[in-house]
Amino acid sequence: MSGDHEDVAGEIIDQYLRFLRGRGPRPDLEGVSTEQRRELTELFALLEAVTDADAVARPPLEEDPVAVRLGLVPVPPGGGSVPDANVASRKRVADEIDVALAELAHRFVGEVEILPDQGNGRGKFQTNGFLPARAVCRTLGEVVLVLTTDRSDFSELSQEIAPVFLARPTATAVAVVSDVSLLAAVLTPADCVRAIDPIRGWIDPLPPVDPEPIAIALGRYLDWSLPRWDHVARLDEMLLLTEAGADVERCVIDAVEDILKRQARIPARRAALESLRRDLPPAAVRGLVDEVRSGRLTGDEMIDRLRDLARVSRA
Amino acid sequence: MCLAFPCAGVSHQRRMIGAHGGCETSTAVDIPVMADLPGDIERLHDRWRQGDRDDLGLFEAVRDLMRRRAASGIRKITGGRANDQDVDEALFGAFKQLLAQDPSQITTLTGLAGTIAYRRGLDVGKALNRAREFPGGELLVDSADPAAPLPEDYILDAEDAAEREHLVRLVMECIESLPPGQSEVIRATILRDQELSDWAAEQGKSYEAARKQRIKGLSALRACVESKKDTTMEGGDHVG
Repeated sequence: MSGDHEDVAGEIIDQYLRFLRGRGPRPDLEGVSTEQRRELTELFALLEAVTDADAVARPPLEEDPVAVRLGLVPVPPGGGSVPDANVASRKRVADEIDVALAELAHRFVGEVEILPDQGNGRGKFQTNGFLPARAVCRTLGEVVLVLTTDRSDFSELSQEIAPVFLARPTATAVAVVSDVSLLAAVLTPADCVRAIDPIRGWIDPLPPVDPEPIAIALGRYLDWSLPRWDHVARLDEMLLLTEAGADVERCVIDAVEDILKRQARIPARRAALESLRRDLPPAAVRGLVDEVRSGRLTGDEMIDRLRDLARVSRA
Repeated sequence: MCLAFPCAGVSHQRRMIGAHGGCETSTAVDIPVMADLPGDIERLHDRWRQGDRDDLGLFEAVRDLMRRRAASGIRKITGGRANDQDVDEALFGAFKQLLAQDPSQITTLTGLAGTIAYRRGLDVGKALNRAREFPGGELLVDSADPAAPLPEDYILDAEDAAEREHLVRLVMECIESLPPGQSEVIRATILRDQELSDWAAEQGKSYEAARKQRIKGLSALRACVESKKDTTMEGGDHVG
């Protein structure tokens, strides 16, 4: 291959390797000369034959899981039971759960922390067919254990999970994933204890709702449990840019104007907005801000003044 | 099979207990191509035809090639690198299917083993795609009936597969004849799926320098393979 064509050939070879590995389209040879195309085509045949040839596992024959499964070699000492499709399937399912958790971590980045369980045997739950917690999802107010089970029937799950909350009292919820079906259900302590019904008396825990893929079930729970922070109108402006009292008044007037621009179709809402314009004196807000800034107004007294202000504007 | 230090003269039994299924003398170039020399596969095939099938010997002889072809089939369907468990699943079904064949009808054992493994790899790949699309279901691989006669296209594909395996053998031999830097970059970025940029960083080279080295290596490799092909054709060497 001549040096003039090396850059083009290098790029095409990179593309072809990406194509063979499923990471890109087949390279286009339209722009290359006939001679170079012939050379590249021959190279493609070589690459197709040997790409990733050394990336496949080659266990020693006596430990080869397929040879063991075929009965060609004895089970290696300490190797446990004969490997079968279930083992491979379980590993694959474990990978799928990890992928789902990684997706959730990406979706709730900054709000949810997903960590391997650090229970270290304390409170790890081995009974009832449950495995130790696979991961822990932490939000501001939630600690959700992710457990796996080898069953797909969740009808008795509520009773079976109750002891988990006793063993791990910091857990606020448990997500149970079936490594057979990959479906999950999220339960809180309230779902796992008997409840009293005014008519029927004591009733047993209800079975969980229909299981769903873990990314949906756990994702919905985490989404629901995250705190909602309402936007405070012009807060940054108020804190940073309103040194003078006149600026505070201007800021209050602007904030009220912003609110009044919104359309109000319901008569009561329209009246409330009109009341806001009429009854909330910017000077009163300015006086309040001045007193808070100077430290003269704090605590309950400040709350009372704010309540009075709100009552005035609501009247 | 050791390419730089071939295992000729070492008994079959002794090679079988080697740490990697190849020579006991571990070298930097201990890359099994078909786990053994073609002559051994022919001998195993002859014994099978005579009714003395050596299942373990056959498995040892073809397992690397079948794993490679199964991984290739899975990658073809899923578009991603196959994990070891999926490859093993395909190999398990493929080897059982190979053993169920009539040895007198097999013209090229390595070619047929590779073809069956590739088809089972495709099956596993399809099952994986189904499992990704419907995550609630179990992973069900469409397993072919081992006892059923093979379709005619298997026989045709087996010829191509035998040629491909011959090509793999030539490439592996030629890689050893390249200068160390060129053989290393080809081994790392083509045989082993290491990113060229990572390899360049490891070696303290620029990406462009590594890419030029790989192009030179591939160019030399192509020339070497062509010359060996010519030699093979002149000598009338056996392919399958």
